[in-house]
Amino acid sequence: MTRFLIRRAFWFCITIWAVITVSFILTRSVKGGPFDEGRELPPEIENTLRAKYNLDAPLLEQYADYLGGVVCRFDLGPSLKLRDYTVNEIIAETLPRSAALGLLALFFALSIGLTAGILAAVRRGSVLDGVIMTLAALGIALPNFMLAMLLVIVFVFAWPLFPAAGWGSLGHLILPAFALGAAFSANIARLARSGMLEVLGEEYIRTARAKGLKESRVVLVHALRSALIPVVSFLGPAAAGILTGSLVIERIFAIPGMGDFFVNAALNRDHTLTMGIVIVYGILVYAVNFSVDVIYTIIDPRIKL
Amino acid sequence: MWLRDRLKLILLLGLLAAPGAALIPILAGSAPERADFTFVNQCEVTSLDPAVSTAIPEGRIIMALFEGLTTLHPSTLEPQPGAAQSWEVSGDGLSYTFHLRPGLRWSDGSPLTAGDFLYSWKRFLRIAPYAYLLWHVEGGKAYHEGDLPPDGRLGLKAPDDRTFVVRLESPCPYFLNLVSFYVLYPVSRKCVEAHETGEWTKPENLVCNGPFRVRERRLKDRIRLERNPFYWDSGNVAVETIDALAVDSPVTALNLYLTGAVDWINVVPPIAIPALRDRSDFSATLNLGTNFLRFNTEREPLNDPAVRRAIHLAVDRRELVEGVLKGGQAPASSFVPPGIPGYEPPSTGSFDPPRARELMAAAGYPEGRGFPEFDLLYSTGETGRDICEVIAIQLRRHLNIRVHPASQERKVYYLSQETLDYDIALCSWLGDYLDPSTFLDVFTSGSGNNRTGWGNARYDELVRLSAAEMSPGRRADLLRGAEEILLDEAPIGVLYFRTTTNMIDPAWDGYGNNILDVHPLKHLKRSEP
Repeated sequence: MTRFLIRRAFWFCITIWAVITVSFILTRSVKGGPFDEGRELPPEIENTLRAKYNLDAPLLEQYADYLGGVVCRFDLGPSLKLRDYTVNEIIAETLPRSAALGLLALFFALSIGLTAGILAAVRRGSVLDGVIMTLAALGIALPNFMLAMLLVIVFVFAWPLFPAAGWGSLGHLILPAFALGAAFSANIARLARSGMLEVLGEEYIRTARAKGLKESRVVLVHALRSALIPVVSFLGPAAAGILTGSLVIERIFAIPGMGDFFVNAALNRDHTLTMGIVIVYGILVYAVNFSVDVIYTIIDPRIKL
Repeated sequence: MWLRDRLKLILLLGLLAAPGAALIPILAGSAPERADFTFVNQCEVTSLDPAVSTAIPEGRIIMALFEGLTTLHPSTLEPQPGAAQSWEVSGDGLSYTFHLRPGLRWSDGSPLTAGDFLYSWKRFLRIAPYAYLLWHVEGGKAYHEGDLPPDGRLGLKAPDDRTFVVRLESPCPYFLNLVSFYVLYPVSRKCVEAHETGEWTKPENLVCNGPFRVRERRLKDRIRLERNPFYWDSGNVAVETIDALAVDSPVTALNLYLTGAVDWINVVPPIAIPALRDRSDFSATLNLGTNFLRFNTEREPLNDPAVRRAIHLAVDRRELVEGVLKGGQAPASSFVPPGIPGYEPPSTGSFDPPRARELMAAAGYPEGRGFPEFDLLYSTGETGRDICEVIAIQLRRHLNIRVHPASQERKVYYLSQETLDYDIALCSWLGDYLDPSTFLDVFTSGSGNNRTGWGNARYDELVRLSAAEMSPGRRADLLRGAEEILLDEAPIGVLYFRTTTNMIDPAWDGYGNNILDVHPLKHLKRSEP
């Protein structure tokens, strides 16, 4: 166990270092800079700004400065565009909101997906099975922003149940989380269904039924454990997908989260903010995958750490 | 063993319960009560510091938080007494003496004096992107560059707490309009010097002198303003709290407006305009801005004015405005838009394909033969793409030349123009204040905003002379003469005058439609029932 953790910690450092380095190179290679605008900046002002943000120093020096700041002080630097905030402040304020959205989306994805998948497997071949699988296919095919627009038309205008956009209550989160999680719930439904079907055909399930156990106990206690394995392994990519999907959803529903900042930071060439958010995403994805691996070993006794 | 069996179930339940547990503290206490007035402010503002800001969303907030020597009347845009209750201009137009109102205070209760204006304007000269606005001030440019000699004079003085004197190097007929521009609003020296950069603008630190102050600021969500009791005219401010929401997407803003969640939006998605146009709460107002084609005059054969004029005459501006834009824009006949008092812009030729073909043939490209293919650059976006596609079709039809619409992301689009790495670009220019110079200065030879490679000595001379001319009539003549040269040599091909589209809940009054699209929040009040 300890060796496992040490190995993971080591690879974590390597991964994050790679993320920082690659994003540094990418942000500096793109054409256009933070001060290119429709109106020219007086040369003296631009020089002062460039000096202030150390943009005139040789790239290697900027890189070393940045890396040092991140590793030693967890200081992601000032935002080049939002002059009143540092990157740390921006992330501290927006990450919890994106996290709330993402977690709720994951919750929808899991609860709807698992329920639908299990039902479809148990009632295999029935109309319910067909309906669920068709909806699942639609959910995967529809881009999340299209689903978002449909949801707005139906639940904001036609049948006003939810606010159009914004932040501040659970009601504000429902539509965006649903739009974000829908595609993943569809995937989870299919995975749960096929996992469950495979398990339900096993010998030990027949034994359980022969013993006279209630069907619900057979399914939920004995079969579910194994059926969950493909679902759990999907959680890693699902989390990554929710993170990236959130960029569009946050913009459509005006959720003041990190994703929307990310898009603007890239478009504004706000190098420090872009890199800061990339690092946070990197850490999140790594953490989720790590958790998935740990859960895996708990669920499937055949797997050793 | 029992635990091992159940572990999975527990994990599953934990996985499902964790989001609930995490959400509650995050969302608790996060739903603020609705403010008296809510509007969409387009994007997260870059800063609340007047000196370093440049764009319109910043301007809206800064004009609510701070107040300059003069302010603009919401309908007529005439400079009105602001922090200064009166002023005198010397006979030669070189000296402005502003008399501040008695008893002015900052929002922390401390007195606001002329010394604050002196400090703010010197700071402005040192750090503002708009520093060139104060080049008119004696020694302003040298001070900005750090080159003011030790015995040199800077024409800004505060002889006593209520008098602020500005000495100009040359007369500036629109100086009072300049002074109303939000970037010249004062900041509190005490506040700025007490905090590190970027910290003094935080809500808990910000000290301001305007009708409102900041109660709360949530990044990318809202800035909540509340009435500032220390403001000299606070008794006439009819709104207690205002929320400025940072919503990027115009469609989302429209959804919020239509569901009654906000009271005012200032960008209406073009695609929705035809459906909304007839509503009484919709207004499309002509704006002080012009969209035009920029020609890279260093590329053959765009270096030939006849070729540029030919291309311009072959574009049907009316078709663009009525067929593509449909937002009430007007086809442009000049670079300076109409609506500036005292200035009547000259007129350039209207859509004339036969004349265009004549010019093209005389330039050596009869029926477009031999004319190179060019890229028509625009900043990524649907409107730009639609306009460029139609222009390409028109040029093909009338001149038989090929231009290819090419989009670049905003920053790259700017960089391409800065470095003259483009052929023809679709551009726009918005005026900052009510004077033709805010447009005509752009195309002087040395201007970094020129970006065409074009220069004309006579044009430069006329613009320079107009800057020192005190008589409005003669000045207008000089400026018109310059604009005629610009339109004749056509380093740009004017397309249309911009409009701003706004929707505001009719329950609110005090919002004026004007060509600068400034709507000082101070004047808002509920309409009489």
